[in-house]
Amino acid sequence: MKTNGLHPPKWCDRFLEWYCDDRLLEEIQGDSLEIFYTRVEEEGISAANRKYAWDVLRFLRWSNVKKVSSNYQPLINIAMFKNYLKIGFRNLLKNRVPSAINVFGLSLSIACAIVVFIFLDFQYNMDSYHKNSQDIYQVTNWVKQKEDLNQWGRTPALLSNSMSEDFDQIQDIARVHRRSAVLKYKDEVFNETVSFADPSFLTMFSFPLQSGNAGALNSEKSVVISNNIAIKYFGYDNPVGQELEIIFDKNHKEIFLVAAIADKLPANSSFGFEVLIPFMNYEKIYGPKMSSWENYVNVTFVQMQPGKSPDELLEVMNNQYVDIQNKASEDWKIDSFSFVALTELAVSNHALDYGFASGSHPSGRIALSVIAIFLLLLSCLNYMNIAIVSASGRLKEIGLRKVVGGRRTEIINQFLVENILVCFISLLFGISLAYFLFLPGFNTVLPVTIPFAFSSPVVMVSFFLILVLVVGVISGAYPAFYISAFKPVDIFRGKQKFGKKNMFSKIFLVFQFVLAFMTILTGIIFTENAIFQSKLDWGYNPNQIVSIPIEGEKHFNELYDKFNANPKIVHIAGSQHQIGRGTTPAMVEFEKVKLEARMMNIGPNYFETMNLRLVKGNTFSNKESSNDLEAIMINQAFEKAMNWDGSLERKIKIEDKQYYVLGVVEDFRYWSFYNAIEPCILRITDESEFNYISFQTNSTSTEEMDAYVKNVWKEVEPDLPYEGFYQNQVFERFFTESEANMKLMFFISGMALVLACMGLYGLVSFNITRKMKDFSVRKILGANMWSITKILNNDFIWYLVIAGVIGAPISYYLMDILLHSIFEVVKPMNAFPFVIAITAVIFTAYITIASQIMRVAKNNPTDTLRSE
Amino acid sequence: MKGNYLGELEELILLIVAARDDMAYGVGIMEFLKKEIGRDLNISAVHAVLKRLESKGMVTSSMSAPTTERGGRRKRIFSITKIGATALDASNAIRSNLYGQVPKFSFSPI
Repeated sequence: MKTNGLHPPKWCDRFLEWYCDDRLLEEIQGDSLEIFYTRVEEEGISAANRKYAWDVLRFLRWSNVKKVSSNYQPLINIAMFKNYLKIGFRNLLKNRVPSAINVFGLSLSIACAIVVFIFLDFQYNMDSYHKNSQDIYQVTNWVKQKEDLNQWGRTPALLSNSMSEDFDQIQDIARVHRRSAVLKYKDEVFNETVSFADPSFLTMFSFPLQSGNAGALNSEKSVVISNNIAIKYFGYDNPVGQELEIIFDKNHKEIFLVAAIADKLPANSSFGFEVLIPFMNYEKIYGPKMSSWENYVNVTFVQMQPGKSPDELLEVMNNQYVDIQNKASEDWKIDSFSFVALTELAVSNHALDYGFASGSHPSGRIALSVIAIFLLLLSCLNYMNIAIVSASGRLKEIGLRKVVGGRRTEIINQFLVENILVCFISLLFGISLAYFLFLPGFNTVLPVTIPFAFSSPVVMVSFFLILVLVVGVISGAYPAFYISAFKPVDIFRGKQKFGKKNMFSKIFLVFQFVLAFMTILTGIIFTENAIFQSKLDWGYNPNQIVSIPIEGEKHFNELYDKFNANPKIVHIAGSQHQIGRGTTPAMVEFEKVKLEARMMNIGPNYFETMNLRLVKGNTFSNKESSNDLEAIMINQAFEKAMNWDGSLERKIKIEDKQYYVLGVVEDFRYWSFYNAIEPCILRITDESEFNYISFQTNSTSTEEMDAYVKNVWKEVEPDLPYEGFYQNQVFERFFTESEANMKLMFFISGMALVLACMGLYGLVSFNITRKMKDFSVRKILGANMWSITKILNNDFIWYLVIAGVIGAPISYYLMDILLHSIFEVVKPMNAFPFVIAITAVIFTAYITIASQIMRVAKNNPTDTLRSE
Repeated sequence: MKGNYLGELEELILLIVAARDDMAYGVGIMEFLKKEIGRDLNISAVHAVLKRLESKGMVTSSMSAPTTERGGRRKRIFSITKIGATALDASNAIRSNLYGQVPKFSFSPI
């Protein structure tokens, strides 16, 4: 038989040899090979190869598979468990300080992990309380804007009509559109967000209702209000059946009957409503053109028949609807449709333009999970170091166990069981830490309040179980293997050299201090910057300026007259845009160059009222002269962009009109601290365009002024709520946000420092244990504590120095990038944060070391030396 | 254990082992089954049956001398034991006994 050169596929053989019992291998391989050669002659090489592989696979039976050797025993001896637990407990109590430190460190990071997990669990289970949540989807469309395709959450208003006609798979469909309107009940007048919604909205979603039923939106003039609104307007009265007036604009005031009241929204809602009225009112109030393919509504939800996928609809939608829409809307052409499931809405909402639900960007979630895992790992490794040291007192026990017949696996098991016990105790502490401290603390930083709860008991139990096992095994595996390898003979002869110099734990310690150093630096520099930002010049003096949003000329004139009569009011001005509340983009052309600039349309005297500062040229004349109407003022950024030289000849073209430049105003913060100040134009506009009236007062009593303005407002406009504000509050949100960031950073840097010190503690006590005899001999020969301290410190000073040398430049570099990416103007860095960080690290490190040196000081040399 | 009953395939293979001394190993039995009886079995199935027979004590096995045709590997040659022979005899006796009791007409051409 010619067999030379022909072989079955090698991987088959390797696989067979891997799984097959050695005693059966020869005959199985032989038989397969024999058949293979027969097949090669009869059917050709490729068929033979294929069938050979099949045969090998068919031989994979339980009876042919390699088994673990016959003297196989269960890994864990249940009877010994009781002993392990008892000894473990006794050891915990015996070594109180190291145990407490271990438990403390682990529970800190476990608490962090729990909080982060609850946060993630909460985020990923948003809106899950809706009964139909599995079947509900938000319709989104991809719209071409210039070169980019953007996913829009808002949809054409007519989409829902076509969809419900064309598709049987859809069970229900609901649109929601939000508008701002004024609600009035007796004396209570406030501005609210009113949601126009199809009646199916309430049946599709399971918003809890306090009174009334889900069919409440079926009659045209009914309104469903939230718990908040009910209390705000009706107090303790029962609002159901009461009349509520809604003022949409000057010409549309309608009376609605309260039909239902929603209960407080569950915490895990990514969207809800305050005031809900039937969608049919929308067309009636804003005109029939609102209901077209051209016009958009905030959101369209579809509820599919159970088990149907909305992707079935996409073909028809992408083919037919896109054409219809593109014809109707020239500006925003839809390219295609897609769906976002309700269950994923909160986590994917950030990707949508014009999103409806609220949802955060994933970067926060990623950063938090990375931090949590990192902290867990750090404390596990610290625990490892400390665990090895504490085992030094138990060498004899290990030796004895081995002598009376303990196998190595049993000793490994013993240590693992002890570790899992420690982890379990830490878990208990961690849970209470998370419950009482970390989660409430974290909630103060978040815009929402997260309850201490899990999406389901299964998730909770499996999370805690996995946490304990993973932490226990990671932190306990190395010590268990390391210690269990000691030979009993060496232990009893006292020959066991305990703790060779361990490069790994040193590098690890340095690494931890680098981290601690960096996070502390980050915290300090960030705080410094936040303070710096809050003291930053706004380009004008915002103090003692009050601004009030108004509607129309009548408001302006009446308020102007009243304010003018008050001697405490120095300047009064109207404006279309208000500093800090938005500008309008304008395409500007000058000398053939086009420039996109921000534009603010202001009234006469606005410049003085807002305390803006003139750099060059003149301000507006403030008389009703036509000169002002042909002039603009520019900011310094604009001046720089166009190299203005003070001549009146260089005209600027805006919206087909020529303007000359009157003067240059100092750069002022018209929007936020995050963005650079762009070229900006001030232009005089007509009274009829005014949206704000602002005045400057010389009174320093805010209460008095507040009461006065509110009073005046009520006289002028009893139907609309007063929404005035002090100009120095316009950046309030920015400052609360940076304060929240500051808190979080300080917490993280504190954690890093504590963990690093625990690592240090582990290593120092390790070293002292190793050198105890050395120190004892030195003490006997007359060494004082100072010289011993010096010996001990030598190493650690170097670790800290190395950590500083590595950490400082890295954090300098990283902070530079971070700060410049967040803020527009950054405080120049100086040595101060570095000095503080180094001091903090060295101080805490030395407290840790000192606590261990006390051990040497108290130690009686005879105790250590006599044992030999 | 299932007892010493013989399955149909087991009985067939036991018969082949008893009848064909020379080719009583995996591939030999598989090819005999294919050519003489027309049953196409995978080699792993044959191995499984042989292993079962061996565990019931009806066959024993020993390794042959190394051969050239299978990459120098030895064959496992099976031979029938006394228990196997008794089992075959018993099953044969039951069959012929029953066969004898079948009324004649059922086999006569209609």
